[in-house]
Amino acid sequence: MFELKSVSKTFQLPNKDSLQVLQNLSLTVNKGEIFGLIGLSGAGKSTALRTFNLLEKPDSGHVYFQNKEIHGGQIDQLRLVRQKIGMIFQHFNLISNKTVEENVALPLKIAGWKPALIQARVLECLKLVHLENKNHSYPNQLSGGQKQRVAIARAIANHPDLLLADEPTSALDPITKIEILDCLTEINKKFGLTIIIATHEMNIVRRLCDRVAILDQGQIQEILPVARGEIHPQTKLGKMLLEIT
Amino acid sequence: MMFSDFVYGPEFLQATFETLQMLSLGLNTAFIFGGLIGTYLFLWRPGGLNQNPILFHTVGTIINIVRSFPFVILLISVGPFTRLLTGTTIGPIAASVPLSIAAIAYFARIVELALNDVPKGVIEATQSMGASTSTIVLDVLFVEARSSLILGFTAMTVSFISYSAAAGIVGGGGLGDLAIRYGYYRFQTDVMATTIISLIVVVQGIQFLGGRMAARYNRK
Ligand SMILES: Nc1ncnc2c1ncn2[C@@H]1O[C@H](COP(=O)(O)OP(=O)(O)OP(=O)(O)O)[C@@H](O)[C@H]1O
Ligand SMILES: [Mg+2]
Repeated sequence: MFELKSVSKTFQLPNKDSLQVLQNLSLTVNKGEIFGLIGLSGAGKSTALRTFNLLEKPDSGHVYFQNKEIHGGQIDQLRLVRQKIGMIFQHFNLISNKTVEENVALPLKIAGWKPALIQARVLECLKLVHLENKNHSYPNQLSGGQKQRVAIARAIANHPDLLLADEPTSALDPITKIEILDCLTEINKKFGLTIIIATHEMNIVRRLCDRVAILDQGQIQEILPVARGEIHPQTKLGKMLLEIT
Repeated sequence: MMFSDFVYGPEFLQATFETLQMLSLGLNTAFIFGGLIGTYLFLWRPGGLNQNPILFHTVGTIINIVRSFPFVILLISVGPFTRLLTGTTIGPIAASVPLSIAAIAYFARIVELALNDVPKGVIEATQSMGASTSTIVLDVLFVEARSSLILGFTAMTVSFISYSAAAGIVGGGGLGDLAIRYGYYRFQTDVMATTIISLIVVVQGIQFLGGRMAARYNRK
């Protein structure tokens, strides 16, 4: 299980104001499920997501990774935990001067894999995302969808226990979007990999998620099951999101 | 002295050698220490990977002070330090001391800016893999910034060719010194011309090589 417990986060803005982005937020994600975080822009989805691997350090509250609390202050522990949490982003964030292969190899290098084992694992991951023939390309030679698949290969290379996805399809066209979502579903089914995805779109939630939390101003409005692509929100915001996306 | 005597003459070769000596000492020192300081400035900046406002502002201010000195003034004012380090204030080795100081400050800023230009998302992605700060710097930042680093180093080399000529005038030797002694004081225009043309050729060559290398390493 992966858990945020009473997490609060306030950003200090340059004009001396402060902005509370997460308010006493608690959230438990079960092993093997695909969990959605939905809400409008600025609701705090990214911030909540990034708290799971402490890219964002909460001001108060607790973060648990597989039932063990993780702390921002313990750098070595945090690094080991992060090596077991993959992450993908809206803008892919690949290293442009490294080949596809080198990009996917990076987390393995960081996790201390033996060089002899890295190559085989990289190819295995690229096969999973159907890009085995692109290993020597550079990211700028790939389409958006291909870049995101490289990013997925990179994120799952070190056999993570959790995958964080921050609007992974927002920069992609509708067809490519579905390709990527199906790729994520496939990985979830195949390896039982837990996925938490932040998104604006109910469409994505319906296609992908087992459960979803509706977020507004840093607070959870409701948490709903998604059964065979159907959601029945009770809150106003949930109903509106369902209607328009 | 005839033009041809001069061109192939030992004095011209000697001066060229001295210029190269000053440049390579100054640029190598800048590469190492400027690179190090620039990287730390990047890490220390507010919101940086290893933020430290006190060091950031202190070192930043020192660099600004060095950079605001006109080079000739810097050359003279570090004289005592030069003497301490090299035992003299004349000759190309001594002239390398102020050159190095100026070049370190210059290159530190270039490195800091180049690293700052690497998209934050790429750094975050690497952090999310559990990378140490040194891995982030060595394996990602330097790789992503290498074209701008090469271009910056090229620009610096070109500036420092002219700085080294100035250093020559104050006893450093080298091509600048030669141009002044023969070309200016003895009215040997051909010496002046040869020196200037050699410098132009060298600058063009360096700029060309730097540009080619930067393009070759850029996959953006
Ligand atoms: N580092 C930061 N400094 C200051 N404010 C921030 C920072 N990061 C996020 N914020 C602010 O916090 C609020 C929530 O941001 P967050 O990125 O979590 O929202 P989001 O739900 O992911 O929105 P979007 O759908 O636009 O991605 C926003 O108002 C944002 O401007
Ligand atoms: Mg967001």
